[in-house]
Amino acid sequence: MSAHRVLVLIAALCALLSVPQPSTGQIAIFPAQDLVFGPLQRGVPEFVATTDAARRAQFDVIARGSLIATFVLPTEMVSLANGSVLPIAILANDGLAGRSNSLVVFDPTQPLTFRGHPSKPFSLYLGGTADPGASQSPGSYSATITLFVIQAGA
Amino acid sequence: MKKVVVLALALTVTPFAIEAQNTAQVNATATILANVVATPLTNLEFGQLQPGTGTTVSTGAAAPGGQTLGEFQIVHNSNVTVSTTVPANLVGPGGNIAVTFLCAYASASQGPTDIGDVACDALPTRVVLLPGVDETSFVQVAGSISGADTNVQAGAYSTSMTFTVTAVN
Repeated sequence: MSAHRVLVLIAALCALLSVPQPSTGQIAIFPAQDLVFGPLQRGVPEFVATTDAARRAQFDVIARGSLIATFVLPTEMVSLANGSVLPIAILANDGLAGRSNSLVVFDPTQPLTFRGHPSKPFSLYLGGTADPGASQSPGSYSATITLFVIQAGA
Repeated sequence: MKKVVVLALALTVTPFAIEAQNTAQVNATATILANVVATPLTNLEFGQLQPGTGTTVSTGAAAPGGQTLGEFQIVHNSNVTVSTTVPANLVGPGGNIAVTFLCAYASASQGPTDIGDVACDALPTRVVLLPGVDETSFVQVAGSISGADTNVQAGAYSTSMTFTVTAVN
């Protein structure tokens, strides 16, 4: 193989690989707000709507290209004091996503595909229902909601 | 030539080794309010005293005739603390009569105490057996007056104590 052919081969490989590729760090996620049920009476369920700006959970995503968001949703909150649990449900209609003037309901139990923008945050809001029992132990409860975002393509 | 091949291989591997991804977390939080209801039941009555005589009202049982054990009830589904400021005197027409107070927890009204007597401003945390399930506790308020302090003008002498019950977890 001549040196010229080798160079052509290398050039072809470089051209093939010069399509912009995502790298770790190009997806920025900002955990903007917790899902806050606040003070609850035992035995009385509490619903937080995705339109409740003060209490809904919020993530903001800044990234390029096509993205897939997947949530790990808790089914119970745990007492910080004694480990007792408080059921929580984040269901199919408890997601709201988009940019400020264009929000759509989504199912947070399923992966969500959306387009990122390098300067306009894409927001993901979550509501849900806490369902304390009639003998729910008093105190503070907490659970973690995790969002994974991967790049699906340019 | 060898160097060129190595470079080409490196370029082909790199894009497949890097994947754009990220993760973040928020919390879901709630606070279950405790149920705490305090109800006064009986005042602490020392009864009628002759000048120069003292008396004592004790915890753990109903007081004898003419006297009553002070008591209030707490219905609570979480641990509670009970606090108060203890007065030093009963106040009446002849001035002050020195008095000492003692308090105790009980599980039954006018019943035996669950702990020994303590100063009313030093009651320990009252612990529920099953958090979340209502339980009833009683705080008994007893006290004594020395005979040396009752040589005063006749009349009714009294004071008040305000107890604060606070749910803690």
